[in-house]
Amino acid sequence: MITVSLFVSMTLILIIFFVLINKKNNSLVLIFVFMCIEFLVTSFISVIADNENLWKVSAEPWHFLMFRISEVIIIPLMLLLYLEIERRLTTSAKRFSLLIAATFILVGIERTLPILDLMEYVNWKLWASFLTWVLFLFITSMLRRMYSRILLKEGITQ
Amino acid sequence: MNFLPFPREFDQNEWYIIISAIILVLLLYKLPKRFPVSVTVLLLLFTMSTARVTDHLLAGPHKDFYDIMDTGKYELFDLFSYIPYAPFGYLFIYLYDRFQLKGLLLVLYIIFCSIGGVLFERMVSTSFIEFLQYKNWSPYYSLPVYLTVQPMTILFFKLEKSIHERSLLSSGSQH
Repeated sequence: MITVSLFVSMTLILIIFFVLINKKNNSLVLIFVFMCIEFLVTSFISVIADNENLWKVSAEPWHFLMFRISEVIIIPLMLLLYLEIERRLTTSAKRFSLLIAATFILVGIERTLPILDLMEYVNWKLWASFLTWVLFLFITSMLRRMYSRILLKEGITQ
Repeated sequence: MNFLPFPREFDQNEWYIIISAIILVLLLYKLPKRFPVSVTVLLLLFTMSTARVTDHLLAGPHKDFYDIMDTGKYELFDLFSYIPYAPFGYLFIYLYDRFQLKGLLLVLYIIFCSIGGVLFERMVSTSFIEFLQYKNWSPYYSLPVYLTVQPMTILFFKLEKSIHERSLLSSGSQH
């Protein structure tokens, strides 16, 4: 129960932090990306865990809840934070460094899930984790650019 | 590896997805434009992502209240099945905004649409369509879900519209 309490507390701190920071991206862009990410992450987990059984999600109710929180709140918010930091960086070298750092952070978050007994890996390799999160970061950036173009056509600049 | 399995049999529930997606997308196309593209996109996405997250939480392996399409797996047509949700949500908000519903009328509108949602769900869970297969769920349990999601959809629409208007104003004042 202490683990659950700490986990939920850290999630709430992440939410509060994200809500209170000064945003560089338009709120509509963040909402768009958040909803797309929700769809993609839940679909990804369904494919990996339910279809292919490469991950085995814990059946214990609190662990299951914590896994769902990480899937539906923590990962999407981390990707939105990536977008916010990316907007603050001015050079390609800095953005590339951010991409590398963000990949490692997301792989690190994923790797703590089995440590907390929220899930276990079944035939899942480390390189697959790196590939997954690089792809998600790339898709997040593309989604931001896509929706920003729509806003630009409507006369909304960021 | 078969990441997104094809249907076991291409039958009535696959045809239901295709036909309803075509009808609803045509309806969307034919309705006079009422909202900016950016607002429309968010509205469509809100309905789809809400449905996806709800199904993921309630129809996954550990909380298996119902199955969508042929099996409990996440099939290719499960992915497409979220397309028809989007025009429903758009139509719901379109009529709300078009008739400027307020007060008691709005309450009745939400109740009417929620009951409509339950009846529609009942229809697609019959042995003729078999889009939904209930396990520990009944369409009547969906009524409080619709009564929650529909006001949320209206609130979301009001929020995105106000952000859009503020963004336009602040962009206009910058130029």
